[in-house]
Amino acid sequence: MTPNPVIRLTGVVQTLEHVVFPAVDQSNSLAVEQCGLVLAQLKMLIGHLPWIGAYHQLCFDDVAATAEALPAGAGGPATMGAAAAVAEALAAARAQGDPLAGFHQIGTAIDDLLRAVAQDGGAEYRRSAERTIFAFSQRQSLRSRSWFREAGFDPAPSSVPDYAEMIAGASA
Amino acid sequence: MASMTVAHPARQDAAAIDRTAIEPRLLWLLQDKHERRKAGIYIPKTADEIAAGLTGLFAQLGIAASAHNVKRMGGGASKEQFVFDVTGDIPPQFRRCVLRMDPREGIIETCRRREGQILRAVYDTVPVPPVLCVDDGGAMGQPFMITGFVGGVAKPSVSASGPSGLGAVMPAPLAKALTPQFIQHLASVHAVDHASAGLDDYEVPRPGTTDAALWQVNYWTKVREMDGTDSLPLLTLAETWLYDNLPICDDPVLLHGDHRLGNFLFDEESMQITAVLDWELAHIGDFHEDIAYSFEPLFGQRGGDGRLIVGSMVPTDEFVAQYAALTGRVIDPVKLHWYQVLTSYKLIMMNHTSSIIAARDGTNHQNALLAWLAAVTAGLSATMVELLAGDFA
Repeated sequence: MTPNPVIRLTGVVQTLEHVVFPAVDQSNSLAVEQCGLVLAQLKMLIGHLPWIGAYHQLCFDDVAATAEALPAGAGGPATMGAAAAVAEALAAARAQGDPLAGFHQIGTAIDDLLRAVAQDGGAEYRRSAERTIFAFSQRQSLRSRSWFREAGFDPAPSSVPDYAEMIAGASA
Repeated sequence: MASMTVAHPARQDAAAIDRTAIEPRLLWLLQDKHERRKAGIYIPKTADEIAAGLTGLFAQLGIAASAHNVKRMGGGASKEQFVFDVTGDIPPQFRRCVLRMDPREGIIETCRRREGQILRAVYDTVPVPPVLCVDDGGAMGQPFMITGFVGGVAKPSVSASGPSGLGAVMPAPLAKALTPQFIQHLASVHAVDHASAGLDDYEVPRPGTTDAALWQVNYWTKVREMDGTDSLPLLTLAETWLYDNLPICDDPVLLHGDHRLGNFLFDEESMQITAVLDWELAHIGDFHEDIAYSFEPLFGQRGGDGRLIVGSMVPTDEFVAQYAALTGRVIDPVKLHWYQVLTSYKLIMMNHTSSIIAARDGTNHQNALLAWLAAVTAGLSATMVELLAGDFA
């Protein structure tokens, strides 16, 4: 569709930056600060827009693979119920076809599983499940750091890949 | 980054842990926030509205003075702040004042009454602004505290930085001058006799128990339960790990709770700290907690050799050596590690839960900032991964 959202947002940013924000009372420090943040957020969104679908799909594929890789549940009723709920969430998320919603649907089931295994999980099962989920968390951490690197909060930005390269590399 | 392996004592019995133990005042604040949320979008107050409110407040308090030149202050991530001049029958330290007021919701839910108690308790111990009054919300619709104005800057004028002083870089001479003061003030706070300091809204953990650690995990876990947004298994791994490895606190002390660059003022010419600010996270707990908080990479810089420079001022090992020399305390690396995980846990909690909820609902005075700060979680997750790798990788 024309114009695409990046062009529309770019026009908005240019107007805000060169017409609207200069007209803001410079003695109103809160307003001036918020203007800077609005611009920064919009610019980051412009960069994200072409990649959002692929990024969500990448994250979803990994959390789904993680849920699938979990060992068969072993432990008390809380653990067994939570392990079954992860499998159900995985099936439902795949059927639904919305990567972002599915990511959190599975993620929430994994959150619940972690609490359940701490309560009554078999020792070996708990260790194995936690390691599998931690390994996913390491990968997800790197993905989210890449996604938000330009926000300037990363403790080691030079060690984080550019998100466009990361996404393109994953789909290659 | 290298992973960290620290041997913690045997795991706690999960069933024996009281997960409801939270300081009553803090729990009440969380519950009250959920009531206030029903009022909907928050429209920040104008300077004129604040001026009118101050006129009414002074009359109510019997202060024969009036407020002028009310201006909103920038900076900070949690509270609305206004500076104003006062004329009339008022002591000199209150001729210029700062009003620090809660928005409807924010990145953290804290208590002006507690903050006022702390400032009064440490007034003769470390440089802090004098307290004029504290109001629970009756006078202007939102709780606030008014203090005398203290001059100084929160970051070097030559340094750019992000919100709340994050990312500021200290020139070497300034760092050298401020470091001993920064550590001395922390040591002095830890030495306050909290039992006789008038801290009526604070609970004291029992020495020789896990109360101090448990109350913190319970509180931040409750924040997630009440303000939860998106899934984050890494955070849940940290939650169960923290409960499994609760450390004993031998000697609870008064903690600042947010001791870092950006939360103190200094005079660039004299290179003296003029005020330690932002006491809203203060509580009584284990001294390791304040040290671990200072060691969060978000609040420092990496030196050329890869070492973390606390507050862009002092490497962690030198910080520990100076603190130990001042206090005689021995840093337990196992407890320090646990409190570093807690620090990551609570910082992610702020940015991943309450902050996003407030930005989503428009209940803060700077929703654009809160939406931006959501990105902090990504960087913080790197630290948490590093801290937990020894147990889970």
